[in-house]
Amino acid sequence: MVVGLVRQRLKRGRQLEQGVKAGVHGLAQQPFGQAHCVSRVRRHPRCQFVGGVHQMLRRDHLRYQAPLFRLSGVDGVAGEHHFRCPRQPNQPRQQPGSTVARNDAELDEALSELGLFRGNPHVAHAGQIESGPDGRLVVCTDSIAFGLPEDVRNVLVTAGHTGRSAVPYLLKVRPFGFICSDGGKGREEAGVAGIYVVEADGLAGATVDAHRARMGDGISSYRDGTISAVNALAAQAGVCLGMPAAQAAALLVRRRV
Amino acid sequence: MSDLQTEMLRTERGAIMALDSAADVLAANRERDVLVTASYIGVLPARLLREHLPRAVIGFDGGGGPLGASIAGLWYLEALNIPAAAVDVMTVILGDGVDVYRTGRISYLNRPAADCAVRAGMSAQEAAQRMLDHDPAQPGAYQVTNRQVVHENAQGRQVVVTDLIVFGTEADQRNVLVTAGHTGRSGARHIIKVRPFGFVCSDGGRGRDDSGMAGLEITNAEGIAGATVDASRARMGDGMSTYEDGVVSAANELALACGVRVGMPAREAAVLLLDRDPG
Repeated sequence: MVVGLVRQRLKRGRQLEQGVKAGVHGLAQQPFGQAHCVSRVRRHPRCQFVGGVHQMLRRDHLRYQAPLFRLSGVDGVAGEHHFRCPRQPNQPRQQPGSTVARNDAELDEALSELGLFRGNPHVAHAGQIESGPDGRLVVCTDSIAFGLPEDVRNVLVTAGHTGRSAVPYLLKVRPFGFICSDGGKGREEAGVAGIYVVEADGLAGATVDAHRARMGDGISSYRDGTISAVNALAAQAGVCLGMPAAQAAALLVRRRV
Repeated sequence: MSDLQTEMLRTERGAIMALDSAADVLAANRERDVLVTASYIGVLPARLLREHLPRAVIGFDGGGGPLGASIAGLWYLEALNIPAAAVDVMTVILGDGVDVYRTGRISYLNRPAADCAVRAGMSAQEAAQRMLDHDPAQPGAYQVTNRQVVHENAQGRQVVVTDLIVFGTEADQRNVLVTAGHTGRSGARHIIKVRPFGFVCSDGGRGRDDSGMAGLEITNAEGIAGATVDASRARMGDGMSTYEDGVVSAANELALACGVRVGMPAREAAVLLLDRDPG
C-alpha cells in the first residue's frame, strides 16, 4: 500500500521539495502501459514475478543532490505485472493486491522527480527501487562507470554495452546483480561478452536489447528493456530471454546466494 | 600515452588513437587527436569526450536505438563543431578500439565530419585519416543550408532541396523548394516572402488543430502551390530526407489541381509542381 511520496525536483541552483500523500493510491491497480513488448522470444517457465516491498529513488548529479528521497511503502514495483509471464493467484510469496502499476507518463514523472544525489561529477540519471526485506536496492544509473562501493549489495541497471571494456567496471563495483545494454550486440555478439566473463567472479547479470531501450539512459533500460542475453547465475535466479528488465531486476535482487 | 589508448597513426597534426572506451579520453588528446572508440556514440559518451575536446571522434552506432539514442552524440558533438561518425555496430567488436579502427564501416556522421570528407560506407580507418588531415568549416547557422538541385525541367525550372524555407533565395521564385520545416502559419510567412513556384515542406507532426499544415491554405490564397510530407516518415530539418523519404500528407488546392495527391512520394509531387501550368 502506498502511504506516501516525497518528491524532490533537482535543478541546478535550486531544490524543490514536495510532499505528496494523496493521489498515488489510485494508481495501484492501473495497468502499466508500456512493456508488454516482445513476445517472440521463448518464455522460460520460471518467468514469474514475485512481489515485494519497493521504494523508488533517483540519483543524479552529486553536487546538486540532497539526501535520499523515496517513494516509501510501495507494495510492488512499477511495471512488474504487465509481462508475458502472468502471475498466478496461488503463487508463493505473492501479495494479492500488492501491485503498484502506472502508466508511462506517471512513471516518467515519478522517476524524473524523485531524487537522491550520488557522489559523481557526471550526470548520472538514476533511480533506485528498494526491494526485499534485506534492503538490497535496484539502482538505475546511466553507466556502470557510475557504480559505487555500496552497490556491492545492489542490482545495477545501467545503459552502456556489456562488451569486454565493461568488465573492469563490473569487477570493480561487483554489484549483487546487473543489467546493462547489449549495445546492439555487434560482431560476434561482442556487446554481451562481458556477462559471461564476470560469471566466473560470481556476478549475476543480463543485457537488454539496445533496439528497445535507449543506450545511455538507465531508466530506459529498466522501463523499456527486454532481456537479450543472460549469464548462468542470472538464469539460476529465473531471468530469461524476452523478460522485461524490471522483472529481471526484481528476480536478481531477491536471488539467493 | 596511457596504455588505455593505442596509437594507430601519428602526423604533425596529431594522432589517431584507438580507445576501448570513450571514458579513456585524456587531456593530451585535446584539439589534436582523432579518437576511435569502441563506445556507442550517444549523448553520455559524447559528454565524457567533451571533457577534453579531441579533434574528432568515431564510435559505434548501436543499431541507432529508440529515438536514435545510440547516435545522439553525433549531434551533441556537431554543436561543438567536433567531427564525429558512427560505425555500423555489426562490423566491430564492442569494447575493442583497435578492432573498430581496423574493421569498422561508417554508417552515420555529423556535418563537421562531412566537412572533413568523411562519407557513409567508408572504412573507419579512412574516415579517421580524413578527420586528422582536414579541419571542419565553421559556418554560421544560416550558412548550413544543404542546398541541392535535384531536378530541372525543359523550361529551366528546378527542384531545389534545402533544409528550411528560410534558406530560399530570390531565384527560387521560378523553382520548387523542398524543405524540412513545418508549414504552420510562421512557415507560411517565409514561403510568401520567398514566393517559390511551388513547395513541399513538412507537416511538423501536424500538431493541435492540424496547425503544422495551416500554411497550405494561406499560401494557396497567395497563388502558391504546395504540399506537406508526413513528419513521421521524413526527418525534420533534413531537406533531402523530405525529398527522398517524404510521403505527401496534405496539399493545397493549387497543388491538387496539378495532380498532387495525399500518399504520393514527395519527389513525384515536386515534379508535378514543377511542371504545372502557372495559368
